[in-house]
Amino acid sequence: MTTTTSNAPKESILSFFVPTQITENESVTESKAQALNALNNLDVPNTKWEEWKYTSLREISKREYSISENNKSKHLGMCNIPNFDAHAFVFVNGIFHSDCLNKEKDANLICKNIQNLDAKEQIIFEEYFAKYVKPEKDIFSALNTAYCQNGIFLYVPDNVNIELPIHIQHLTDSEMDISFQHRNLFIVGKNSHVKIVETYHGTGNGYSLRNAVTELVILENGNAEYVKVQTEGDKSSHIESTVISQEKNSRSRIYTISVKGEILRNNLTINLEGSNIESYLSGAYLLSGNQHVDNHTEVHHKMPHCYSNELYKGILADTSTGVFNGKIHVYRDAQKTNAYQSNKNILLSDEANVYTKPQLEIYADDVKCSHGATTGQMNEEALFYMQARGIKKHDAQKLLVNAFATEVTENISMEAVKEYVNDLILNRF
Amino acid sequence: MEKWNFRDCTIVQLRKTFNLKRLNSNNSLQKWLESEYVLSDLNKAMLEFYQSILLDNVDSWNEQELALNFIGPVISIVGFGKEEYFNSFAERSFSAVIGDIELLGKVDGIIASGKEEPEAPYFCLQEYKKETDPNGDPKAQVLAAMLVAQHKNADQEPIYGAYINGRSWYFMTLEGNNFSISQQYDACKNEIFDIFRILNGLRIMLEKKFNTQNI
Repeated sequence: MTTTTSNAPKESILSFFVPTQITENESVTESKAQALNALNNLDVPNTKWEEWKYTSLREISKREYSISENNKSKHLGMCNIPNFDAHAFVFVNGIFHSDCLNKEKDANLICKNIQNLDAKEQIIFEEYFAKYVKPEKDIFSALNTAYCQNGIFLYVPDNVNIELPIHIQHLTDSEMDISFQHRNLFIVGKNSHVKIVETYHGTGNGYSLRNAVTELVILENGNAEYVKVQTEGDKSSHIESTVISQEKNSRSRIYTISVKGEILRNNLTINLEGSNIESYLSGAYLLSGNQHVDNHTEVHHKMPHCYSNELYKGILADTSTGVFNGKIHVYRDAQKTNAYQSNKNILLSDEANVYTKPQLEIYADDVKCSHGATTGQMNEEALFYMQARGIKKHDAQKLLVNAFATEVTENISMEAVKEYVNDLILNRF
Repeated sequence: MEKWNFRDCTIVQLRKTFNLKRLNSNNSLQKWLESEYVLSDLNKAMLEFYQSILLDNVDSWNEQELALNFIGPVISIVGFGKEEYFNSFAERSFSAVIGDIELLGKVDGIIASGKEEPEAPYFCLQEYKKETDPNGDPKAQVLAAMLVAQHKNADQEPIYGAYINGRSWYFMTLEGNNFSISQQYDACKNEIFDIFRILNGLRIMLEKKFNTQNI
């Protein structure tokens, strides 16, 4: 790679996230120091990199984002999910705003902004923080590890079933062009169970750039459901790395729903570190205008008798672009692995594009793995059939889009969230 | 000879008179309810469309409106009339003399052999009622019709049935002297996809039967 093309954006990207005044949190200095050190050697990805071939940061790097300082908004109501009873946490422009934790329901739950941890919580935090992302390999993870000051630390002790879901609400509301980061660390103890919903919303006329990192650790026999809904403003860009580490007999269900946003890059890595693990990865992206969504997933089967099932579906209108790059890596010791991956897309216009690359890398010989991808137009025969039964063309198209996409959401266990997401899907086009 | 109209029958009366036994479940019902069918996007879209109409109107529709606007369209998506060997019929008179009693009446829905009119063998009988204040006992009505179908059929195959109270669907089978009734399936909820799956299960079962027996 050439230094001339990569250095210029690097300075810009650094300026978006490196504060001029740094308040060091002593307890994570080591992790931060490593991340700071890594920053010196890392470049900003460009389209010559295979992993970033279809996602250009050029436009973003030309802008002049300034680090967000304001967490005030009159539009907090737009973050609500109707009829959803949850522990709620609100961040505005990346900065912690408020929380509503129901201790009567879940007395054992620790869930706080990462700035507000007490000494005991800080010890647990340090034990896990930055152990799963790889700041030495990715400039955005390094920036986040080094400088991020806001986000949720969630700790579910062993043998606890968290009754209410956790709802983390992110609102971007700015007339200026702003940048910000957030960092989540979720620990699910042995034999414990939690449901997490993270929603992103946007308003205001300013451009925004978010750099987010989430580490989710599910210990032995733990169970986590994690739903992420991106319904941001048309000027909001979002680069996110989520790394999930699962220990034996654990189970995860991860949903990534991308409905709005300018440029969205979702990196999702799941490491299956023990045997008898189940992981379900589901994603839907519904794009219009000039939107761009890039989902990069990696599932690492390291031990035997694990199961993963990945289903991503995209619907693209206008001149939007979708990217799906999914890799399943089955290690030599991971015999009896069952791993499935599917990516299906519908293009609603001739100008929309989707780039899909499902990959299997298998080093064990007794496995069942499959992958596949399809891209096509809306089924004209189905449209005709529905119109012949008195359904207007636009309604028929909406219903077919809904039927196609809601396969992804049908297993969301929180009814209010499922209904909310399905409404977003139904009314997207 | 006594004449009993379907609409006047009760379960107790039928059970005692025809020596029937109600089982929580039997093999044929279990197998039917567990039928597998992969929904296409078109099926799903159509079902959601009709479900939205049902949600808006189920409390006010009468029996005919329910049949016209919801049950009929759903059954037409299943496509019982596609094969030449069996068809779906509505509002047909149906009777048989069983012992010294004539059971008779009109059946809201019948899936049977025949083209112009239903003929033996009969497969599935349906009874529809509006959501509120239905007259008569629909499960007794459909059971009476199933007894007639069983009597008319030459074989010993189970007879399938369904009764629908507004949004609620119940499936039944009659096998010899034993009958079973399923739990409720609510068409206003995601169970509409189960209803569709079960109806398709019957269609596939009938198609297989005809393809292997070449009737």
